[in-house]
Amino acid sequence: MADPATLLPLLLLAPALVVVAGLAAAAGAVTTGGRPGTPAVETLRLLTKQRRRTPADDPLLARIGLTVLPVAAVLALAVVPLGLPGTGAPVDLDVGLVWFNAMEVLAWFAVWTAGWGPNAATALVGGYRVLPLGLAYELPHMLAITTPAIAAGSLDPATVADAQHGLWYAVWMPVAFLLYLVSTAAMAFWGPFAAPLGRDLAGGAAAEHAGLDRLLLRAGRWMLLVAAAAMAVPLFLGGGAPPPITGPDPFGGPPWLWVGIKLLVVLALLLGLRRLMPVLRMERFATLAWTVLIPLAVAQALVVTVVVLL
Amino acid sequence: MVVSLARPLLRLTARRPHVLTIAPAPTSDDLLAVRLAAEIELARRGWPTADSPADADLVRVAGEVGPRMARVVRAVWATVPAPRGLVSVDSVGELPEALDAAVAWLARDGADASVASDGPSLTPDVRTASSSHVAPAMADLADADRDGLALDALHVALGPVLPHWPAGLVVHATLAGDLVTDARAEVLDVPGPREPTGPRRRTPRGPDHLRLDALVRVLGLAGADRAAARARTLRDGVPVPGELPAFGRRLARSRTLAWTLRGIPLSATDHVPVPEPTVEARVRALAAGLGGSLAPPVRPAPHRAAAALVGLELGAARLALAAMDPDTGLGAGPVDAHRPAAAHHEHHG
Repeated sequence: MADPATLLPLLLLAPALVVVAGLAAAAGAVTTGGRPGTPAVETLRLLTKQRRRTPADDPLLARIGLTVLPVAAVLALAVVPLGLPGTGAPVDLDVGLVWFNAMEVLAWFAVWTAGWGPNAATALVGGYRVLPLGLAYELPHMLAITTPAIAAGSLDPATVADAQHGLWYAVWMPVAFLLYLVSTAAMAFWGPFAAPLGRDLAGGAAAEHAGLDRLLLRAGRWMLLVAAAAMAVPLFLGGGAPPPITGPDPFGGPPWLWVGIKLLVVLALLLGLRRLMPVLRMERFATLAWTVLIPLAVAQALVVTVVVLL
Repeated sequence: MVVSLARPLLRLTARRPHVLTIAPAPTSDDLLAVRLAAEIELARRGWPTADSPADADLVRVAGEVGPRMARVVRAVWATVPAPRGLVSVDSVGELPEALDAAVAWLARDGADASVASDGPSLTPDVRTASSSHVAPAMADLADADRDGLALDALHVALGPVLPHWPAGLVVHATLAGDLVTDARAEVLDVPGPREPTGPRRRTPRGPDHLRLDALVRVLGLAGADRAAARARTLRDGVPVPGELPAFGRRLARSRTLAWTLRGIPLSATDHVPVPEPTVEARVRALAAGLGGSLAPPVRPAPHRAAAALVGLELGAARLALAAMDPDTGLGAGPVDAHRPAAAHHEHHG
């Protein structure tokens, strides 16, 4: 860390993530029938809007949670190999996957405190919905992260990416890849998993937040989604390596470019998922997770483990 | 106050204000027409609907409100963050003009104190606003929990300002966590219930309009946004023959929708509000009836609909209420609001 050159990517990481999250939000607006400029206008609207408080609230707690959300997204992205010069990741951590998952789970805290702070019934119920959501998605998510780590024999995402010579893990372990995509949307409480901010609760955990507070929650959610989608690239899509179609490396190009292209593909898959499904009630999603997703994730991890051990 | 630097930004963002609509119970066809025209106008302009007062730029009162509803409007208005505007529309004709005036005013200034001076359509008494409706709810302990545990019982008035909520309805609910343990309906300014017996109220709405209106709400709450938008277009437009049955068949066949709506009963108590036993069956029946020659769907009185919510999780209760689509024009209540006991209990967080 003493070398200033290694600090530069870290400093640029937050603005870069904001830009990419903004582009993802613009694409999301287009796929739901809006205009691409909508997220930009919405951001300006929230910036010119007053913040707001409710009687007997706890604004400090709520704002700590709301601030944690974008920060957690940046910290999660910090260990993702993005094809930068050197080892690829802004911060090279040999237990990067563990760090990544720990940062993601901070979103639980963020939504819960955002819902608890305003002292209002709908916000509180919305905040509490992260609990069934987390209990449902986290186990398939962890198993989906662990499976490539087992195959590569390392918790370092860069090593996992390098281990996919010739065959991407998305092909090798398709169930884990699909579960990772689904749990990514759930982790960012986005799309079909937006119940904590549900319209049935007048916006749930976001119901009483206005202005900057609301912006932090909405932007933080897109940043988290992008950060988690970015991790799918080293875990399942070969990191910065060009796609293995025929023979060794038919395409050239810098690794960061390939990471970017693959990230776009993952985000497009996620946007497609939202078109496919309505918002799931937590009761239904918990049933699905414990009866279908977790057994599938365990089976996938088992198959990969057996093949690796043989 | 808005600093002058923000002026150009205000002009930009005022072109897409989030609108919170407050509509009184449709006791007359005129009130209903104003509410529907307000929704059509919003969709035409492409303005988003605000989910809550915190999200609103423009509060729009669609129809003449009675004294109780006026108090709600004042209380809601008091909690809307600036820049903000308040529009009160009593007839269909003045709607576009009033919205244009409000937006022009939002773009110019956005500070709220001078709303009244801008035109006759803007309600003058914003200064007397009180925030009584957001008074912190007291948590009691309920003894009669189904598991025999003493849980926090939260007394909440749900409505009348919630997305996809029946106009004018307040459900005085007791919540244990997110579980509705008691629910009593009240329609503000419309005491009731007037049972729908005797001469049937004539409305200009056909059965398909009623079905689509209910479907718009259920689909909107279920987060099926594209289907909800389609249902709204069909409701507000003049569908070509065959369009309605096709849409109905597609909805009735949708497996993702059926899966997410599954397992919500509509008759938790002795009150049987609608013929269908579950939300899933109700939605399927509404969809299957589209474009046909069946009788209009049964719309329960508000107090029957509220009674059917007991025992449901709050999100499921919202879906159930939207699917039952109670006719708030029939009135209900009044209900005495919960008064917290003088003794304070230990709060089990």
